[in-house]
Amino acid sequence: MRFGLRAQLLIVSSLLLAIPWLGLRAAREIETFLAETQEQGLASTARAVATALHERPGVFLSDTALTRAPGPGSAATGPPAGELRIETLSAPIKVDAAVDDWAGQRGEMGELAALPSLAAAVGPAAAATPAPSTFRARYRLGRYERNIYALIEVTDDTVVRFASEFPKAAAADHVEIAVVTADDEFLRFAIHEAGDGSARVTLIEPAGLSKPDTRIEAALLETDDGYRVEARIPRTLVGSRLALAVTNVDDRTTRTVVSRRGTSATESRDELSSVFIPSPELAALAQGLGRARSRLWVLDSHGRVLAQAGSLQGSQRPLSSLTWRQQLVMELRPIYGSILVEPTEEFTDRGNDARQLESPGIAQALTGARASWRRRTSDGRAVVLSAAEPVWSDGKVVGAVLAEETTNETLAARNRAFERLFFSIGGVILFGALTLLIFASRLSFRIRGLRNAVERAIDRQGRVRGEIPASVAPDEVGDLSRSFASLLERQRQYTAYLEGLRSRLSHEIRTPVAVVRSSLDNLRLHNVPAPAAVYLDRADEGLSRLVTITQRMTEASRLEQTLATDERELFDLAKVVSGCVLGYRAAHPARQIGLTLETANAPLQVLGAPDLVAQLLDKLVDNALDFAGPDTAVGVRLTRGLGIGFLAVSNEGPEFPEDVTERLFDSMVSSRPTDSSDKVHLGLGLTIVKAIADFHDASVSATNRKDARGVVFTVAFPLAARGAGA
Amino acid sequence: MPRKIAIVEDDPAIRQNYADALASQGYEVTTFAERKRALESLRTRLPDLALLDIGLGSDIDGGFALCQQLRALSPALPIIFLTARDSDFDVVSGLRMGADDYVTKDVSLPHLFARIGALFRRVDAGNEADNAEETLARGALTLDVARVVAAWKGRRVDLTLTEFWLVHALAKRPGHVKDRNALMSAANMLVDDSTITSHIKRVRRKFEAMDEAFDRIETVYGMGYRWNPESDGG
Repeated sequence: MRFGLRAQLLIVSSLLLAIPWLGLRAAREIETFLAETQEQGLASTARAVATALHERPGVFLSDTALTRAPGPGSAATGPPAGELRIETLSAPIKVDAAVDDWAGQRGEMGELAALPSLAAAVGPAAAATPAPSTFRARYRLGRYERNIYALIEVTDDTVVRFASEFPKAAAADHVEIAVVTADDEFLRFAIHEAGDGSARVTLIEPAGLSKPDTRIEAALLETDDGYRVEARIPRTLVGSRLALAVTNVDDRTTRTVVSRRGTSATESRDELSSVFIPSPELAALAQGLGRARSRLWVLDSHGRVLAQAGSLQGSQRPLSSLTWRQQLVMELRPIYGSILVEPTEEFTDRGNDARQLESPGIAQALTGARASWRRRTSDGRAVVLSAAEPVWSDGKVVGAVLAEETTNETLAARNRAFERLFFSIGGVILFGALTLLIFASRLSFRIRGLRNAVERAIDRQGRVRGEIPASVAPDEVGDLSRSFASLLERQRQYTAYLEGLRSRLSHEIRTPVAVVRSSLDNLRLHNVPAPAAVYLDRADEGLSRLVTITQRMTEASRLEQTLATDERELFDLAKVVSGCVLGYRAAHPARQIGLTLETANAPLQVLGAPDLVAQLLDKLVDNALDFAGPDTAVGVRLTRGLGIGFLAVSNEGPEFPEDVTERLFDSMVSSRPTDSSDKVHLGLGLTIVKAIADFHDASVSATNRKDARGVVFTVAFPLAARGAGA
Repeated sequence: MPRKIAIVEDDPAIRQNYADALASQGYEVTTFAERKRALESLRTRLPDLALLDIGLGSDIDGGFALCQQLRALSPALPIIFLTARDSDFDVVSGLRMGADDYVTKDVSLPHLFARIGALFRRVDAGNEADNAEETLARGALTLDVARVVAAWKGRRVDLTLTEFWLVHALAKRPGHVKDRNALMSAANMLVDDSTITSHIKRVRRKFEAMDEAFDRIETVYGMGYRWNPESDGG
């Protein structure tokens, strides 16, 4: 199979395809680098925010003493079920038991759940089964600056007011506020209807009695279906825990507690709901420190969200008005999309309003060691980088800062880089392959040209006929051309030498032959005795053969000289052929030489040399006579074709071997079996035939006869156009 | 009086063999190895026939030069080239130099004797022309046998002896094909086929040089030549 230079170079140039792979590697490395940078940036953001929060107890005020669910019971249930979240209010509340200033503020009313009855603690006649009642309570908490406000609405058809004869707090309808202060003090406050429509705030003492207390300011207002309490609690009073409870007493005489509702039980400090106060200062701080497309969380020591800023999601870039290059990139995207994932902003993750964050990294940060990690979003469509940094205060970890960012930007940057790379590499490859193709074409064109020139320069006989124009190109092909040119020149000289040798040899042989012959002839003149004359005859015979050899050797080159000088004339091929055949019949009366003319009785005008055609026919007929069996006929046939005259000479006898017919007309090839005949065969006869045929632009072919009994030589002469012979 | 033959041949063995053989045939033979000596000697005493080798030692074309010089001395001196060369070019050159015959060195002695004899007979025939018919006229062709002069349409055609006898043999019996052997004997010469062909070509050219339409000498392929009588009316 032929495998051209161009194909080879193209295959070699396919190595260029390694470049995109290298580009991919580079893009990946860029990605790694960017990711590291991003991680570091994220970590430093977290650190910066954390540093800003260090040693600011005011910010983490409520959290310094806050411990999560220290009791064994709540430890088992995880985060306290009734954690109270105190939203930040945008305006202060006037303590007047009116609801209007709560409107439009953040947060909403919550329902207070029923609590187990405290009959045992209140009095001897605790009702085992409370009668169905309309008692229920709703609450709302808010914080403005250094105060916490509470609003409790109680639905109660019988409001039992405080009476001094029943000093116990539980002996009248009241709202209870239980706190664990920052100093870890467990305090319970009760707010009663003082009896004159105002609120009576007392501190409940362990014995159940109460004494007035002014730390909490409250207002109470009886409504159509119950009463409403509004209270202002100083921020300092609320430490880690807070509970709101409402006690319902219906019988003014027995003063037994019918039922209670609250955020949690208030009897012991451990039963209180933990409290959580989001920090707007922190939020503002975080907002200021945050970066675009990243999300900052400030967490307290329990992982609760104190502040949050920023968002993970950026906005998807608009796809309109793309440049052609971008459009091409979009078209190409599927090609490398399988290799490089295009990031998407359409992922879902936990919301920005999460209140509690938990992860090993946060836990690690809350123990005081910074951490960074990456995770998938909850839907797995994006990767989120996270960095957590502990916040210290008084040598304790009071919280943590968590910074989050998706890797989308990095991925996008990597993809843009790869796109650009892909684009330019594609161009380079295309250009390179094209250049290589042109180069290879040019190279193979030059080499083919050289090959053709070499083939033209040497003919079938191996003789140098022309010259190769020596290239001046200063490269290897030029070298090759030059060395071919000099090679051919040397070959030409050698061929000329050989041909010269042939005629020189015949010339040189003639002289000694002349000496021998004249000596023999002279000897003969001297009355040689008859027995000795036999040897003279034999010597003569050998000499004749020697002479024939020398004649044959020069015949071809003599013919070439003739061909070079002979003029062409118009003649009738039929006339020449028939004349020659008559001559052959005269020369070989014992042989049968047939002549068939199928010329339609019109002359076959051929432009050429009739003498040479006669010589050609001589050779063919001689050849046929030599090969034909002793009693077989030799046939000469002249046929008119379309613009061609076919001259065929056939004889019976041995056929050609299959492989020799192509080379038969080459110099020095003889298909004749070597026999003992005195004929000399140098393989030149058919060369002469070929040379004469070429002179007439005729083609010669030698084939085996169809009847498989001999061979036929056919010469196809192009006929001269009619009228050209005038 | 024996005829005198001069042999100019550089190879001593051949020279001596030919000299011996010709001497045995009753000729008076003088031999020379090189041109200068030969010319000096022959200038003073012209032989009846000269047998010249073309290459004389280092003098490659010495025979041709000698031939021209001898022809200058005597237009009628029969000259035979004897050479190892046999290319058409040499033949034509030799004949153009004015030689009457041309034999290769491998010719047998009897053959050579025959050629020499033929040449002498031709010279004799020229001398004895009185006995034969004076002129032969064939249309535009006139052959003056006595003076060995040919004319075409009244103008003289410069033919050598051999050429003259060839034309004579052909024109004597127009329309009859003369094969090469017949021509050879008619022209009293012995040459090989290619030499006859060369002679005929030369003759044709000489006639064509005077008359472009000349087409009297016709080749009968495989057989020989004949004088074409067709348009002989004029």
